[in-house]
Amino acid sequence: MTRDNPVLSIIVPLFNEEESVPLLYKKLCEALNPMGISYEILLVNDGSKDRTFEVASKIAESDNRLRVIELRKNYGQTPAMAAGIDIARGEILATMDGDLQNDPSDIPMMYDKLHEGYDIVVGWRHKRQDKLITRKIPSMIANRLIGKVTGVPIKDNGCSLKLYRAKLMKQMPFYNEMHRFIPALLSVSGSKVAQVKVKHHARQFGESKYGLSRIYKVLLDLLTIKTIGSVAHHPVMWFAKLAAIPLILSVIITLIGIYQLFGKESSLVLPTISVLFMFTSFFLISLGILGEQIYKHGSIELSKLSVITSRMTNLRPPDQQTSGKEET
Amino acid sequence: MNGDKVIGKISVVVPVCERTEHTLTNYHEYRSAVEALGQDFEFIYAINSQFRDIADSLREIAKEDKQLKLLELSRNYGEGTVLQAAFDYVTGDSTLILPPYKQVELNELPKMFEALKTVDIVLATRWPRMDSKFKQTQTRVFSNLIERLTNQKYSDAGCNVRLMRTQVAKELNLYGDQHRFLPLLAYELGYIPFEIKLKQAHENVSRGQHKPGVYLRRTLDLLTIVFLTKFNKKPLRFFGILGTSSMIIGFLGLIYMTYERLFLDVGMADRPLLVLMSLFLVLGIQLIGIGLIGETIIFTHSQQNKEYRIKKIIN
Repeated sequence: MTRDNPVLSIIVPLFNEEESVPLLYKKLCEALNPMGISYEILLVNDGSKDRTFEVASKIAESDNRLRVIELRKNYGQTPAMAAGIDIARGEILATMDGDLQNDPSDIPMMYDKLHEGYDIVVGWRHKRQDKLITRKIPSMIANRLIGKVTGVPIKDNGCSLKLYRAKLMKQMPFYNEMHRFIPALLSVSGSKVAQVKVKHHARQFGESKYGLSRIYKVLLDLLTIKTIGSVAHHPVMWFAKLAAIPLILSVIITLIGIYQLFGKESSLVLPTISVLFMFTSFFLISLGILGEQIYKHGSIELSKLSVITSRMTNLRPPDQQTSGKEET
Repeated sequence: MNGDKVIGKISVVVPVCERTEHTLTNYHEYRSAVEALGQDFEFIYAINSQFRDIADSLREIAKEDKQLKLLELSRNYGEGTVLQAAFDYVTGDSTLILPPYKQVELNELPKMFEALKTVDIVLATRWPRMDSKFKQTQTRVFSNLIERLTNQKYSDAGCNVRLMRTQVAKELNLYGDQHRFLPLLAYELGYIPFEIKLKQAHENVSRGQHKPGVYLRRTLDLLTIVFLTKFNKKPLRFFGILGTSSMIIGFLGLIYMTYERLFLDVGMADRPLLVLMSLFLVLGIQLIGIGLIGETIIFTHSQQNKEYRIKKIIN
């Protein structure tokens, strides 16, 4: 067995999936072997309470393409994926759920799609096998909203089955519950996103691990993504836009106050409020300046990300690591 | 690493930050108790500048006793800072924190080391307690508060006798008065603390009451810890909830006033309530703005601060 870097790394976060693991492994092998490329499978055990780790490491004994990462405790899906992404050695990364709702047989098709010149290929569970009220409708609303706000109309942000270029993904900040915003985040750096229909199965084992009550969280996360994305491109601008709201209010109230001066009644209330809103607007602009400062001192270099996604003619990418396999 | 059964060299860290009557006599008792464990050991006394006299006498002892090491700080720091400073100098494989005053009976210490063979961090819980019911209730209330806020159970947060692998100590980043919440912070790093009951020392009983200020400080510390552990990576979840609630109050108030103005013919522009409601609105906007700045900080530093900790990689 060679220890060269494989072409494809499959990253599967697992949480209490002891029943699924052997079947998952079998299905992955069935799907990947005919592709004729080298691959590795990374199973990330996210602090499972059951025997997931034992089952997985048992299989890993006989197949060194299977790598098992054991986390110290349960961190959640996104950090688990992040662990896998950081450890992965492949040029192309694929992420998927460990509960067998995604079908590994979609991976070859997505792999081909990526080679048509995309940076990320997102699965779309167009015949989703989940409960309508508690799962499908909330996620439909969320997806619409995410598409509207971020400007990246992805039909199914919640689908874990995705393929990315490793160079891009390893640079990408990835934490919290960000996995659902990856396409939006990556598009900040100008990545080309493709969307393909994938199969989706009903759960075979165990309980569904996500509940309904996340709309509020998604809303807040969305605001975060919008801020991060906007601040990245035009620092201060996003906060200036926010600041416009109280400023306009302030102007309106001032006008009402002036109008009142000509009438019979006048009080201190309106001028006070007007000044209050004006100060808020200053406050927000100051926050914008602060935000710019934070970006300046932070470690994210968006220019590096944009270099990865740019098309280059007669130019060598700055990190000489490309294996001479540049297509398109 | 995990699962290995070696205690190895023991480093005892004693932060001298308060209540110091018996520090010297305690050192001799501590020393013989640790010596009895039959491992290599060292003592590191980290001493706040306030207690220069203790430092002086310990320095005398240290002339002969090479296993006693002193770290004399240039001013008074919180116990968390003092501990972390001392951790930098720890050379042992396991680190035992002992307060300068005795909290548990020393002949119980081997139990802790026994427990460390299977876990990474062991906390002592004083039991049976010898002190007043009032003190015990205090401990219980504090412990319940922690459980309520963080979903984690620590029966005796006031007991500073803690034993851990040195790796844990070095990974921690304590400051201020966070020593009290060391188990919570260790848990954040992925080390599951294990509690063990040790008999409370007789000397620990006759202590006076705390000043009221102490309780206030502890509560503030607890709030900080809750923020740092629960919302560390999602400041907008925290500020967002505060901000939206404030905005909702403001909005509802304004809607109600508009209703009164339009249908009940009550004036609107001259009412101080309008100012109050606007303040709520504005506060909400500001809180959310601060939350967004928090998110920006997290985003720009996310490459250095990985959320996950890996225990093991196979293949």
